[in-house]
Amino acid sequence: MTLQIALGLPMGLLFGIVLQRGRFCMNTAFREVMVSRDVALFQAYLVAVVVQSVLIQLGASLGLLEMSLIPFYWRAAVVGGLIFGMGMTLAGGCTTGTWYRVGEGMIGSFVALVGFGLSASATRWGLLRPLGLAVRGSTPLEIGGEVPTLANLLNVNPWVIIGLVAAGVAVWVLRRPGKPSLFGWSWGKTGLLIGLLAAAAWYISGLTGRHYGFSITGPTANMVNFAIAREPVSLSWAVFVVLAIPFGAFAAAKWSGEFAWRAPSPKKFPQQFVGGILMGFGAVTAGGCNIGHGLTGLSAFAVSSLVATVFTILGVWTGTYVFFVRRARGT
Amino acid sequence: MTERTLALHGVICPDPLLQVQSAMRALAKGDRLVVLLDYPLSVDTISRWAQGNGHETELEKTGSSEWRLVLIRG
Repeated sequence: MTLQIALGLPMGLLFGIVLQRGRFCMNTAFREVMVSRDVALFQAYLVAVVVQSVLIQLGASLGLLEMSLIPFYWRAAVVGGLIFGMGMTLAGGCTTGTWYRVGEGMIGSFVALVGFGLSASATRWGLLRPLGLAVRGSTPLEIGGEVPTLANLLNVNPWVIIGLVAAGVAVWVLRRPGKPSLFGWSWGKTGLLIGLLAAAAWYISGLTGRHYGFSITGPTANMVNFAIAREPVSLSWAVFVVLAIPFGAFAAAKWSGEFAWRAPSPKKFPQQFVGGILMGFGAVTAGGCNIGHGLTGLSAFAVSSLVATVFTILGVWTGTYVFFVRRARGT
Repeated sequence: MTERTLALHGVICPDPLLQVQSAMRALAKGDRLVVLLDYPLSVDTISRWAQGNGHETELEKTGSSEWRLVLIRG
């Protein structure tokens, strides 16, 4: 486990710093496209996906990394994604958003994180497992025995997909760029750095025998269950990345004068806790969260990740409208 | 010209922006809304929304993770 720790903790610290300085919360990214037509964080996200997709495809063709992808259970991606997305709105952050906010001193996010960790673990191993499996079904959809990707689905070279997506994103962000952050990093810088780190994650994680990039939900479930039941018997690289995120975020927040212990009004605690529970169930059922699917799997153009991400976005829009906007407008 | 203050300490997303939007609707052109915030991302989402909707903004950092954002209704 020494290698996992030595390679995991530094990545997590860097990831935490970038998340905090870039204010990279995908709940906000998805939500503000709808609420205030503010596309800055969504553009950071798309830039990160494009940068990562180019680099990992390059890495794979050079034999530097191996791409294993999340199997496609369509019902899991649809239902899990929706529940996860709605949960995010109540929790007040996506999975990485919740982890890095803990480092900024947000007690409400800590409450959400406890709910998330417990329910992710319960869905993976415990009480919620039968429900998750019933939603998922038992047979993944495959194409010629392989996990479906946009490339094998459309029967084209992966570079064609990357080229089209990169061109589409480039045209959008250059013609209608989002407004910069006032005192945090711009969306372009944030997207570029997240993309570079996420691509490096594939390679570094591969050195420990784990063939995937960043993920949050699986590792969070693992650390909870490891602490309680010693199952799994050893911890992966990704667990140490996740554990280090709040420390990186703490350092970044501290040096930029943005650290403070903060708590919402007491009635928000149950809301954030329930949000965390929905996130854990949704993400484990879907096979990944906004990072495992949204950032990492989508960059490899896995169909599972694309569908789960689309439904996560729909879940965020639904949750934001039902739980917040409707109430604020008093209708 | 009237000035209103909205203290949003501890309020979490998306409520800060929603409360600011509804407070701004009740103001007339030239009125000021003073928003007290303790979360940097809310400062960003609120000022980006304000700039996109023709309101002027003035920002002052008042402490560790505390800001005073003044919106002038345009």
